[in-house]
Amino acid sequence: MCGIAGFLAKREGVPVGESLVAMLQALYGRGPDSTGLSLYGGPFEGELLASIWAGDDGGESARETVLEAVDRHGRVRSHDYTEGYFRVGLTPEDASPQGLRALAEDVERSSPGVRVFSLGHKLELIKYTADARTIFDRWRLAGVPFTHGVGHVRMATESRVDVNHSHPFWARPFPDVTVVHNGHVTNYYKNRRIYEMRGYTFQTDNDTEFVAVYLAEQLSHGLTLDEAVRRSIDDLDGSFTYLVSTADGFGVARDRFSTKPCLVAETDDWVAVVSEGIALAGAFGDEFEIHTYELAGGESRAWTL
Amino acid sequence: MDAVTLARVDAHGKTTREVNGEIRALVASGQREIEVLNPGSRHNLAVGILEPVRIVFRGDVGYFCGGLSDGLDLEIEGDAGWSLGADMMTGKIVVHGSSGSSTAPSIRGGLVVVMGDAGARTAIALKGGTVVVGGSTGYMTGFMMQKGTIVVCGDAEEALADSMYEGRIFVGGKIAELGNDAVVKEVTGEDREFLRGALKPLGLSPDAFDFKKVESGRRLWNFDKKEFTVWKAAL
Repeated sequence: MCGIAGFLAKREGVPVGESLVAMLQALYGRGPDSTGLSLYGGPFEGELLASIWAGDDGGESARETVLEAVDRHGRVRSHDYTEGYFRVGLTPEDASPQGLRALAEDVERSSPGVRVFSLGHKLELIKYTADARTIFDRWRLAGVPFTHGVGHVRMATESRVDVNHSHPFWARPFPDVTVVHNGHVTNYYKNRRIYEMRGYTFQTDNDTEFVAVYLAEQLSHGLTLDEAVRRSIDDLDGSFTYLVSTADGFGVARDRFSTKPCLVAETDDWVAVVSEGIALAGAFGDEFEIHTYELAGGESRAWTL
Repeated sequence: MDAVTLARVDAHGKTTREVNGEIRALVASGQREIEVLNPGSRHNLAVGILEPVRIVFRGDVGYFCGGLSDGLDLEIEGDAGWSLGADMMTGKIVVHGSSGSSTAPSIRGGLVVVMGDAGARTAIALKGGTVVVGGSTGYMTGFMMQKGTIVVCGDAEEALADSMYEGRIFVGGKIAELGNDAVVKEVTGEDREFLRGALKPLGLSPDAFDFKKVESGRRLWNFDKKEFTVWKAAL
């Protein structure tokens, strides 16, 4: 089934991480298999942050080979390891999409099972087969001054229940772009083969991964976030309410049949997009009085910082 | 409402099972007027209640509120999620805010009033009763309806009344698109009297709107391959 949530702060001091995690925890019933978050604006040393998963059987022992591989494509500025994730701050030699693809592939070749889950100027991506609160505590996300983020709770319908197949999916090799998705895109396989012929590589058979790459490519051609999400309603078949996040904000689109839910709540201080109202109650209490509306089918919206 | 007879349930911090358990215990003990504080958009509140009880939810409710019921009198002060009043036999549900997809699905009688907007597939497979929407209604409202009446004061999105068998829909605003085999018919004097009564709970008069009536074209009821062109034209 799956559930999604997005949260963007319009000013400083709004607790983005805490709010997003509270929303995702309230949506646990929609996705008990795994939880994932894309969070933007957390501090790190370097130009890009790499979120690198050590693998289901991997661990800290992969550190040397991972850092060596990164060093072959630039300079490591900072690194730490927490429970399966390497966070590596780096200055890349070649920050173009091709350069970042080469970097990611080299890191993954260097150590079996290692996966580069994201690269971004502002993005940190964490996903795991656990609930939101566990992830929040384990990877110490409390108090970090994130600007915005999107998250997902997964009930697997398309592929395996493991960390690799969880959302969010990074739009490799475009920095900072990720997607979380509730639904089932039905024309992804055909389009994926076309994209592969054009040189893109996919890490999973998951439909959402294709959606991320498709949107990032539209953005790289100069479309605004608003234009890209609007166009996607015609280009994607199947059921979807998805959020696409970038360094500057996020966008949402809902399929024409209104198959999957989508509520939007907005104040002067923040905007939230959620699968169910219970997520807003989870973050802001039972008695919140915030104007909430359902995004109509075939509609899209985007918000930037 | 007489505050002395009103029993209170505070849902704050409780599971849905605990909240419903408290409601049922009150009903079993003879309470006929209950208010629920902090419903917090929980799903499945007040489901399966067969006694004529009045329940006021002082906040938002989630999916399936008041479903599988017979004789409930529900008032929801906030918004409702999907499938409000699902399969209700008879009763009355009034939502002050908006309600989600599949509002009042398959209800067999009674009245559901949404003062705000209703979502996609509102009154899907309606089997009787009346659904009134003060605002606008979503995609494929009235899909496969069999009996009963839908009144929409605002606009209706695409595929209105698609594959409708019987029943009727009144729309005061714009119809984006009629669904398969739905046709617009003349609003009669009798219809207008019905609308006058139906809009009373919202404090509205049918004279303030230009209501259109939508009914089934009945061309999809039977399919004979010799009449394929007729059938195809209906789609």
